[in-house]
Amino acid sequence: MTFAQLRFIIKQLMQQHRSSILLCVLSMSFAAALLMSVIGVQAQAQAAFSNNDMGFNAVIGPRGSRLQLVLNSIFHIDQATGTMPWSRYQDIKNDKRVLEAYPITVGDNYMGFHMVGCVPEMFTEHEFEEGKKVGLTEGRLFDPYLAEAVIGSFVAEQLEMKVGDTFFSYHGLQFDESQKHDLEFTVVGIFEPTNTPLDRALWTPLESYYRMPGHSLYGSGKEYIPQQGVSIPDIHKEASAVLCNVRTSSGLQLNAEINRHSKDLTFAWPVSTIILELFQNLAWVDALLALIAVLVFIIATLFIGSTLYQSMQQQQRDFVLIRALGAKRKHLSFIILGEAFIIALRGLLISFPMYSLILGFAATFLRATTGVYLTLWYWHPILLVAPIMVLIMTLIAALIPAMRVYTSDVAEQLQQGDA
Amino acid sequence: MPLLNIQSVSKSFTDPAGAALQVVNQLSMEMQEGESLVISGPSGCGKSTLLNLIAGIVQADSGSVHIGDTDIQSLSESARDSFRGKHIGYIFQNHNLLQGMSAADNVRIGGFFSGQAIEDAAIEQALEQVGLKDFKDYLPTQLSLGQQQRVAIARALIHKPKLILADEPSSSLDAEHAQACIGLLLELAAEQKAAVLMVSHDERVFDQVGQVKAYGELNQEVVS
Repeated sequence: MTFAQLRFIIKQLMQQHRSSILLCVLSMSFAAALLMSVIGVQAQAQAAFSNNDMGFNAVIGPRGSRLQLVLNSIFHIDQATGTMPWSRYQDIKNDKRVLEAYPITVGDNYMGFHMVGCVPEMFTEHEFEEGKKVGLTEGRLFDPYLAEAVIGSFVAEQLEMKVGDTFFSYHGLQFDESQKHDLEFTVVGIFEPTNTPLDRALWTPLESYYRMPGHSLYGSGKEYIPQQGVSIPDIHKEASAVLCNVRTSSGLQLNAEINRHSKDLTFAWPVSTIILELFQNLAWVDALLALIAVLVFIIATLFIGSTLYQSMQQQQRDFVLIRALGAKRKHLSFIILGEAFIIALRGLLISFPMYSLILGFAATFLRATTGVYLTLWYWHPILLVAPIMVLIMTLIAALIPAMRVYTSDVAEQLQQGDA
Repeated sequence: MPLLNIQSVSKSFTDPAGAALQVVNQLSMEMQEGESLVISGPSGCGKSTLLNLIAGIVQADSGSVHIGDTDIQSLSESARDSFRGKHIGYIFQNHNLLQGMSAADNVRIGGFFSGQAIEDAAIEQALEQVGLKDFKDYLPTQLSLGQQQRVAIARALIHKPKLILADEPSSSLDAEHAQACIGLLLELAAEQKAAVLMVSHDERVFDQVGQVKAYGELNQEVVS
């Protein structure tokens, strides 16, 4: 008997119970896709977050949580930890152990996207990736003294904004129309896509942030309201955080100096390690999801075993006939295992588009909420392990019915029947 | 040399109570090439076991079953399966067809175990011979019992076996269809010079085949 003939019989027999086969295929593909997604997406998200430090290895901000400081100042999520006096920024900038330092202020939004007050040097001098400064797809950088903004590509895409458009800022990080500041900004440029959190913020000059109606400055410890036409003394200025690059060799020293001995500052270094804390905090969620995926996987395997066993029972008479026509025991076992193999193969074929779909949802969500970009082409060993597990588990599930068919006595079944 | 030569074959089973049940006892018989024969006997007397012994589905306790110059009972199970697929056509009483396959595919599968390449044209011709050319794509459930039995005949003959075994081939058919089917089987077997051995308790078949032997008489002792 040839392989093609066996394949023909398998195909014909599978057509008889295609509804249950379809359920098997779908449950197996769902289990594999879930397993790949839970582990693959988590790993990719972790890698993407860790690598998305916008080219800064440290963040210095007011006393508070290091993770919150990083999440707020780099990823534009979570609340700011407060503000720090301008003098502290100047101390940091003048420290020889600090290679570069850029102050930012946060706390306002437009349509839910964070507005970040900053200095233009952050875009003209800082390299967001090694050897690469961020470019503009159109327009120019903002004037440091005017109410202008350069917006991230994701903001431009989502809000359909272009150069020349104007907008008002709103107090807080959630969009609330009642919190409108009465200062109109003009979009003067759009950053090129960077697949970093930069894409999902509106970048404005610090000066305009300070001068926004409703904003008061507390850099000196007392309230100061900027006046039109009067320059703001440095003593009154403040910053939400300072994005820095510190010498690697000085990181530990600065960490001890600021985090142990300073009462008003927090030093978050290295940024990528701080991000890992987030994932460590969420490790139980990953473990739970992985457990669910494994349970789904086991249930799918049992389901396949049970379906094959039931279909084998239903096809008992067919198997007897095929044996009576000249098929050997091994042919029948091969037919059962072949059915299982085809189910697994079809399950795998569907599992990858399903995985892509889940990844697509996760990527869209992550990009919208954090600016972190996930790719379909991210390699993780689970993408190989899960399919192999599917194949092995399906064949194991098919072993019992295959053994049952192998050991069944065709003569006895012929006698039992009416043949 | 006879096509089928059975010498002193015995077979017993253990009944549910644990007692030995002798269903074939020192049975001997011969059949020539192209010959047709009906073995008669009541249901449950062991006729089907005899066919299964000849087909090599059941291993005899003792004795020999020669088909041509091959003693099928001396072969391994795997070799018996191969021999059956190549040289024997088997027709059952009912549930004769694979329910998920069309008439054409049921015929096609009959050739799978013969080692021969069966062309589509041969399948169409076989179905034409049994009067079902226009039903080749029909599933068994879409065919009458008589039509299903004709498909089984086409399947049994597709690989041109030397010997056709038919187990109560008419019992599920009405008189008209039974006569037509048996007639068709005998006619096509004669064309291929194949011997036909039927077991039946249907007297309508006896007249058609002509040669009838009582199962009990073939055994040394009448078994029940």
